[in-house]
Amino acid sequence: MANKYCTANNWGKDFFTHEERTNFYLSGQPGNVWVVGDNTHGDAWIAKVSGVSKTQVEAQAIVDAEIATAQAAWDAESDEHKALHSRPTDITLP
Amino acid sequence: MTVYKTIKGFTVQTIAGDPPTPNIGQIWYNSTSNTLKGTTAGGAAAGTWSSGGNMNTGRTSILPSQGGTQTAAMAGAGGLPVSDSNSAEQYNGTSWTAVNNVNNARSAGGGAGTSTATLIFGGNSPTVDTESFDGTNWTELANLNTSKESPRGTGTQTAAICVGGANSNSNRTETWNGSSWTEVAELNTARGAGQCMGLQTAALFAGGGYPTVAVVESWNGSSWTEVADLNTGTNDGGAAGTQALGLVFRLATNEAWNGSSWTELNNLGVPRQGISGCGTQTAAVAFGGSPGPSASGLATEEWTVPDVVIKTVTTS
Repeated sequence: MANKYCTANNWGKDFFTHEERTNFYLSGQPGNVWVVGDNTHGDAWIAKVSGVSKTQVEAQAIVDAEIATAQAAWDAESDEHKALHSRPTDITLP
Repeated sequence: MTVYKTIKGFTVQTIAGDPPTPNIGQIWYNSTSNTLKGTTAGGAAAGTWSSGGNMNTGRTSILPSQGGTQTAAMAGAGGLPVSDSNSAEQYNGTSWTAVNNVNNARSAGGGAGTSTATLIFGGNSPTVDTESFDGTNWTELANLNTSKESPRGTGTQTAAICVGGANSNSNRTETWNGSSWTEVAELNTARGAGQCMGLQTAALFAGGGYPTVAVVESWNGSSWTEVADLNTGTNDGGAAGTQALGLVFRLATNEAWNGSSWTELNNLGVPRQGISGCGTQTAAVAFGGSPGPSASGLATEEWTVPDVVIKTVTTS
């Protein structure tokens, strides 16, 4: 399955609808990165949300930076906190 | 060639679009998209998550009104990036409205009741604290018998259950009668941070633990019985539904319980951990968690299972 990548701010209600979720693959990731199924419905959604297109490498770099920040914050937490919360894991965009 | 009118007694209707509430088995020609359309039965497998209104204060591990609905939910307290929050917000199916703060900031506790009659208990760091919301104000009530971090709960404001805890992997269960907590039977597998749904006398506690387990236990009001495991071990997730018809969601997991087994369904649009939720198996709401698109836990999603599904008829 081919995907496209973009950044877009989730404005909330109807940012993605039930119908859109049935028409194409969609997954929101850290850094306002969205992985979008590569079909006409996905293209229409990117236009709807004024998505800024990214290459997979560019999108992955944004996600990596967000995760690195979250991991650094977790590393600075107490041992008690670490025992009860999972360290944010790396994400590889599909 | 088979003629539709010959077998059905009428011709295919031409509509500029799709009918707003089609029936199962209905067929029509969509003159806007120039496609032949029809319907099939819906069901859980056809359910999807859509985006709901963003929260005002993004946070994780929120204490939810576990007895709330998709259009009337309470989000009490929760974790901020470097501290815990005392924020409280109500969801009406479209947007979140801030209400009076809880008295004691915390995260990763249990919740029960509705959006206007809420009960929250336990949580970081760990605490015994219990508070109720009457639609306007939060009031301190009798404490839990044992402090708990990441317990979970369900039920009503006057008849709730508090299950497990992550500190020392507690197996304790306490029930609330509207004025005090009483220790009752223990879980078979001690753990916290599972997903809890149902009532004080008929609950389900799915997954949880550090490390995560897939164990699921069913509560009949007096004892816990192990039932079929989740397909994927899950903790710090959201739950909705009942002991017989449950829903568990977190990250790339979204599983429905039919009373005997779990089925994997369509996933959240924004995979998150530390997510909370409430509602039913066919109409749920999920909110908060991290890391989301902005790592702020603002996102809300609504799970809806349609009665019918519109499909385009193709020749392949």
